[in-house]
Amino acid sequence: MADITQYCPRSGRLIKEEGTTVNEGNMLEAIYNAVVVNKNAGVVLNGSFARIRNAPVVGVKTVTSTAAELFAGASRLANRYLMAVYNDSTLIVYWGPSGVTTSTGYPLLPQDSIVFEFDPNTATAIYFIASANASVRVEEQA
Amino acid sequence: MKYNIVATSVDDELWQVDILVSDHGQDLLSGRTHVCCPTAEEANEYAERTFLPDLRRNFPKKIAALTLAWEEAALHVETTT
Repeated sequence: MADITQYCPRSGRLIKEEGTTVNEGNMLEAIYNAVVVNKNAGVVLNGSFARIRNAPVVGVKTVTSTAAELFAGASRLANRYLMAVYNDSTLIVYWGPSGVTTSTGYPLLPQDSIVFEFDPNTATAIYFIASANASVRVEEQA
Repeated sequence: MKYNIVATSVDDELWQVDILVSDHGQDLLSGRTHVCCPTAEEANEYAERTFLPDLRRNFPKKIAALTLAWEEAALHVETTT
């Protein structure tokens, strides 16, 4: 069976392996195979998000001088695709990977907010640190 | 109401901290975080001084009655002085 997706000349006409032009029958056969036989015609958008599907989780958290993971609830929300953080304090808080410090972290200024977008299929921790205790508001969506 | 803290080393100066709050044998709330510090003692202290108080603030219906060990100690000092 010819793979009609392999040969696509500049003319836009699809050419089979043996050099002949793909006809309507070949196209129908390819569509039938994709939809019915192989069931691979759909487009799976892993990690995509377009609208809220679950209730958000919100929380007030304390960023301290010890770098720690930040999330809204009792643990990182599974399959989250978004986390928003609002710096409710008068201190600059800093974020980054584990081991982040106030010298290396990316700053989030007082009264400023940041939105992290995640691949829901990849658990990724974000760490926060500050020079002293700082209150932030956190929201997660999955 | 009781709580349990378990700090597990997962990397160099990185601790996974699991907490469980229970009352009369019934689990009320479990949580997990990660803390960057050199020792398990510091990870435990973070959990007790910061993580658990934040959880108590965010889950008042579940664990509002939770009293932490350092709070009890402070209360004891206040009442005895």
